[in-house]
Amino acid sequence: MSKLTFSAVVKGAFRVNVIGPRPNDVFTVMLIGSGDERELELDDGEYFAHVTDLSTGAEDRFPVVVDRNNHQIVRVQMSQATALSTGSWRNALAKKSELPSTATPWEEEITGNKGRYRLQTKRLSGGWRKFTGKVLTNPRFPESLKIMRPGAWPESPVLRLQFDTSLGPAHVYVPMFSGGTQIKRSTEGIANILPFEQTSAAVVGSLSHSLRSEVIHIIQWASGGSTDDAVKSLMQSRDDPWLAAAAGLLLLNGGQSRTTLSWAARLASRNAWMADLGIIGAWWNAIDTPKDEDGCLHLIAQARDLGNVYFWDTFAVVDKLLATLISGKSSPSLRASAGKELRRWKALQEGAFQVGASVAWIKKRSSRTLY
Amino acid sequence: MAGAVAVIEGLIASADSLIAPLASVEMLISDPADVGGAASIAERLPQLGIAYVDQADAEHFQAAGDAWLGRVRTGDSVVFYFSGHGVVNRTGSAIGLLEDVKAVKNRPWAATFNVQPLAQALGTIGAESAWVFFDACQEISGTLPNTIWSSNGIIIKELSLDDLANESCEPLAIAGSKFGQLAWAPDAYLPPYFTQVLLKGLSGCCVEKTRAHGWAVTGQTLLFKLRELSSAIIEAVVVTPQSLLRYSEDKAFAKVAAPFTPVAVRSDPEMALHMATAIHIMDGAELMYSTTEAHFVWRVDVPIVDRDLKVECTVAAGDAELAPQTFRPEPPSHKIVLVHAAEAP
Repeated sequence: MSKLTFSAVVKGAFRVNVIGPRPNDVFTVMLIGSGDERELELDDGEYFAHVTDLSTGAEDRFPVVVDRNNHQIVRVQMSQATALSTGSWRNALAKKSELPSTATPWEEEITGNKGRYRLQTKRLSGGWRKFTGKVLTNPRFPESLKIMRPGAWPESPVLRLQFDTSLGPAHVYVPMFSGGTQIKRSTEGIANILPFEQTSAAVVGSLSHSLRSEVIHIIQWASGGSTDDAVKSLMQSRDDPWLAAAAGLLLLNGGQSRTTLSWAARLASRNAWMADLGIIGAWWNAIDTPKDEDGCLHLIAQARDLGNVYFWDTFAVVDKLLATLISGKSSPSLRASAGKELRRWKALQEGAFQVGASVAWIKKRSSRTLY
Repeated sequence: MAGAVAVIEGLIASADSLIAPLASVEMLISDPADVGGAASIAERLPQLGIAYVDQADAEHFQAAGDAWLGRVRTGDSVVFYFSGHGVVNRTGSAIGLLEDVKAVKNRPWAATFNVQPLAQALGTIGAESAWVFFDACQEISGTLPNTIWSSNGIIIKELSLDDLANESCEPLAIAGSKFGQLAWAPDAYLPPYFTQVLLKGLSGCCVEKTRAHGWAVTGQTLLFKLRELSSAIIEAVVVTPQSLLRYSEDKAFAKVAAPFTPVAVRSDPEMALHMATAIHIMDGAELMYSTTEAHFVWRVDVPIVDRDLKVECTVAAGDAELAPQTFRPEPPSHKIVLVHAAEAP
């Protein structure tokens, strides 16, 4: 047996599968955090390494040779991870007339009030106004936009990005992550929305790319402690309810909800504008006081009434909760109410599509109700 | 009926390679008399000692469900397969229709079942893994009356909020058609197309290498590879499987000793392959497979090996030659289109 070492040279969470010639030659290690090293003991021979960046889902595949005379250390460094944080970012301008000839596509399309992409925050009194935080672009990464939240973000935490697609106008609620939000654009609109900071990006990206068994390791690393206090410590250290919600959903998906979500439920009551936290609160209520079916249904309805949905996985949690209430031992009237609530959530999902871990809505030009 | 029998035949045939040994089977068949009754089914499935077959109606569905779940022990694997008519209800859930749907005037939709709560329930019974295959339409019917909503259909296990924290596994649930679309079946009591694709995948081409089992059919490969496989093995009909639940667990269904990949060879123009005198698949200088019959599409199952193979044709004197192509036989399937040598890149 010879040693093969994988080493992460950037911050992030990576899954490495090493596959050899025999059917059972499948070895998996996780690299979490910059400098993390994992060692495998393998027979000499030729293998393929498949590296997946759990933040973005980006994959890399390359051959590795295991040789007892040459202990190989494979350095894992995926794509833009470090480059993005060191690149030179500049303010996107307000007027089209000020655009330089070297303007990136993002700069051209986000500039002015009538560009293809429009960022607006929700007023406390209702209605929308222009986003007052920083909007940054970078010529080295012409597809990426960086959003920095304004200091007074808690007063108007709901940020909406409207954009045009070939199928019609669309919008997405943009999380204002602490440390900035990266929005990656595509020809059809938006390709991904992630925290700019790599640790947070690993948590949010893991909603789409991690396996159930990987959740605990990712959350423990991101929070720097146990999973029990993860949501609390993430929220308190970064003042970031979006990241807290993503961590809560990740723990919930990973089957870790029993001891970990009480704090997320408390957050929900203070951040009613985020439906995701409200739904995590409903889930917590369900497992903490399972007899309180009315309370659970009330929290689900309240989350929809008062909040906006940021993460795609929230819909799956709602489906599970309401399917349980509808097909369970509840009273007929509660089952009927749960049925109505499910229809409202399905109506909310009409035109919704997944953008990375986020959810966006497209408004079809000729919208038609199916039922 | 053809789908159910084919799936059971498949499970019995691969009983030794299933990750969980095959322990028991419950089967309901709609109108068994139409296909020769229990005797005909018993003849096809002699291992089961079938004396009679219950109708696929509400009463027997409920009873078979109770008997089935009553046998489940912690750590078991459970498989649910349905082939029949389906619709989506007003909340977009896939609904299976049983034989006696609308038979009772006051409860027209009682003989139905909702796939999502069923799949969700299977995650709460202590099973190690749960697999749900729903080969039916997910048709949106504008004529469905509101009454379908007032019925929950048949519930094989009531869920409680308590169950949410006690899920033992996250089931895999795949529908044979996408939301709002139809599922198709051939005539002459052959299995529906999605079932054909599923069985092909289970037999050894929807596979990946696993540490515990070597080559194995896994939830991930079924979820992501069935659609690609269908386009290689089914002509004319588009099979569009869809996941009905979020699935993130990496469970294996069956071990595969000899994994293979179905290869479909065509030509452009189509007639060129038909006119070829022979088609060969070569492993280096060694001939692996060949045919001298005329084909518009030649389909052959090729073992998965860790080297490139070559497809080549011989043509009659005077005909334009088709350029050979190399490919690496990897799961789940390959579609190869040969072109004239003069047009090859």
